[in-house]
Amino acid sequence: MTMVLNRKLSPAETEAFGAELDALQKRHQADLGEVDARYIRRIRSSVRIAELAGRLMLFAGFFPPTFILGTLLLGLAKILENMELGHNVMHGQYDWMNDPEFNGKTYEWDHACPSDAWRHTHNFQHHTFTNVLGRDHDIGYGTVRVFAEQRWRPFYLLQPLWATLQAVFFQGAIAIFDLKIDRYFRRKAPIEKLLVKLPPVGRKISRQLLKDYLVFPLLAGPNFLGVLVGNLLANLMRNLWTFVVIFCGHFTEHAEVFPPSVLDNESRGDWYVRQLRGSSNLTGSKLLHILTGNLSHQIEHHMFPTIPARRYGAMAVEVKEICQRYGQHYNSGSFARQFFTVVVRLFRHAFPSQPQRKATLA
Amino acid sequence: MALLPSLLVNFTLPVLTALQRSPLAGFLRESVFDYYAGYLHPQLTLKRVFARVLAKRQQGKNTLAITLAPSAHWLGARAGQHLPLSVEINGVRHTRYYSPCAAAGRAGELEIAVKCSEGGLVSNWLHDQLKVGDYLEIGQSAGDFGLPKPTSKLLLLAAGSGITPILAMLRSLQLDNPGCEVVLLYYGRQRNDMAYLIELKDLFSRMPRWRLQVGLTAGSATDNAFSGRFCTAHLASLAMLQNLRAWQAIACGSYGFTNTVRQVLTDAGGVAGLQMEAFTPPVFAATADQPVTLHYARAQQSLVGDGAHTLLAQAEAHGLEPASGCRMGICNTCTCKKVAGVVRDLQTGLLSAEPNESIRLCITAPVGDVTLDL
Repeated sequence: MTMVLNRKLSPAETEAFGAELDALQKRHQADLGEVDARYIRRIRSSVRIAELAGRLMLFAGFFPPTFILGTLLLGLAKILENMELGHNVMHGQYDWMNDPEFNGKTYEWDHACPSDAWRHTHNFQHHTFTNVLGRDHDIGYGTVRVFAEQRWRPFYLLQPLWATLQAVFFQGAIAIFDLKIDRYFRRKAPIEKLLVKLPPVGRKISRQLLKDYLVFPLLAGPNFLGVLVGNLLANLMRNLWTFVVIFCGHFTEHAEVFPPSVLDNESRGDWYVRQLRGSSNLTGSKLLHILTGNLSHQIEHHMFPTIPARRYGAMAVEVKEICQRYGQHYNSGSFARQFFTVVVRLFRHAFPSQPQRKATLA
Repeated sequence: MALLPSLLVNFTLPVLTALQRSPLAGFLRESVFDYYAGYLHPQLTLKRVFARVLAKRQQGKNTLAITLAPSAHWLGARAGQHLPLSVEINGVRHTRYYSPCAAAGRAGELEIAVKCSEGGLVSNWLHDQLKVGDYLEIGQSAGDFGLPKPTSKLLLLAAGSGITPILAMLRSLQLDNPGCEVVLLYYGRQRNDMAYLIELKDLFSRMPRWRLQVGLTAGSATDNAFSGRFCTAHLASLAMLQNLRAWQAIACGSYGFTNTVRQVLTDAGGVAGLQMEAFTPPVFAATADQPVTLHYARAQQSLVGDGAHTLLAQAEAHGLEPASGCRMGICNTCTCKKVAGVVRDLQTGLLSAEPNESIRLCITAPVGDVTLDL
């Protein structure tokens, strides 16, 4: 593993670092308009047309050309809807349009996780307390140990298997994530709390299951099985892709976690530094960025979660330059490289490990 | 471009409304349905009301009259009610409220009057960009402003574009209660500024018990017009109004105008009933520490606040418990609808003055009186 050196910033430098990033956000916020609105509507249209085309083709059953293309189109529609449309709209990135269709508080996505639960665990907990142990439950998603700072348990020995299962059933894993079911087994929380949280999740999961595995297959009549298998594969495609993208966002080689004490008197500048050190970017083509919902620009997304994601690419140029001037490592690499380091973490931290002291350049 | 003939749409919409009351409604997602149906016809929606622009014409020097044909989702308007109209300019949806010039039944044609003022974003867009044949999104009409029932003596006072709901009331009266005595005092800067003057003259000429009196606030008073703003002298010179206490009064215009009307009528001994509607422009407080009124619509409370603290901190200090999260403008948990008023985003310094905009309470502070959906 390579060593990364971050210059230790004085409080004044941290403040200046934050002020430069604030100014960048302000510039983009003031510039929002027609182009951004047209972009998100085009994404919306692509999702709707790909979904319609995919579902229509799957109605033809197992006939290979339509079956393969239909499955791919439906999977693509689900990926685009979850990532570039749903995830970003729910952050309130398009609230400035005043269009009820793109309102962050009311948008409901094509995913087993109810949007309200997502808004709480993701928008609030994960984005505010990014990579803070005990506060950001996205660290390992409760099933895997990817940092030495997480307490080791024998359960983690088999974590390559847990991670694979999680990837395959990622939609369901995210849906029940907020329930934190393990807390009830360990009697850390009263069971009544679970009974309150369960019904909305249950309703959303059944709705999604009914839609993909009963209603649409029934509509196909004799081709019931073809539609069912196509939908299953499309959901699998979306699950694997979102799992890989999300794990590459915060669990790569140089991503860091922080003790809860960092939150004490954390300044705006400190918060930006934490977002930078806890996130990692993926380099690649424009298509890759769109398919990841621009989460390939995870650093920019974490610094500016309410700015439309289509602008992250342009912002990244400036963020990178600012980081360079302040001597801060900008964690970026190719998709394959970054994912490889995630897999290394999954295997390494399945076994007991000790946190290394981070070297800092004085 | 519509694949479905317009005639069919209005037969289909009631079916869609019925469908939403059925158990199938759970499987219909509005935005998804509206997207696909939009390819068939722009008016084919589950709930949203779109109206086709039938005509645009000039009314007076600065007023544009727009005739609209709403879809069958529109439930009509009583005389005096107003309705929202939304347009998208540079990616941002803007909503304004207009009073139709005549009562309308379900899916009935309606006409609105848009006064074009310098710097008026929506009015100028409607004037310059809107084309006949376009579709505009409108909403259901609302408001209690309207004709008192029963009524036999009615004093109507209108200033500027305040004439539109008054015109609607006159047209309703002509049909339903032609025996009613009516005096209309209509104020404008100059005659050529005043919308619907020809229609009014024509209407009044056919009604023997009706009296139209024009007031000109700028330029010379000719043809028996009053000169200057509404005042006690204007009221006193109308012989019909000798027994003012027997008259019911309705006024519509700017805030200044309706205030004057209230004052003058009270000074003259009062009327049998007074209804007023004013267009209220957003109020800007002069400094950050000047007290402002924070109105919480759901809690039905109006409390005193200031421009120095965030709306979240002030709502909590007022004993409310709005949802909140990061308190630094990133998590979107405290996002709330600002019904009216002006607020400033403390991070970007940008102002939000539009009604019904989504704002993040934790990073916005009021710049004047604000109404929140809390």
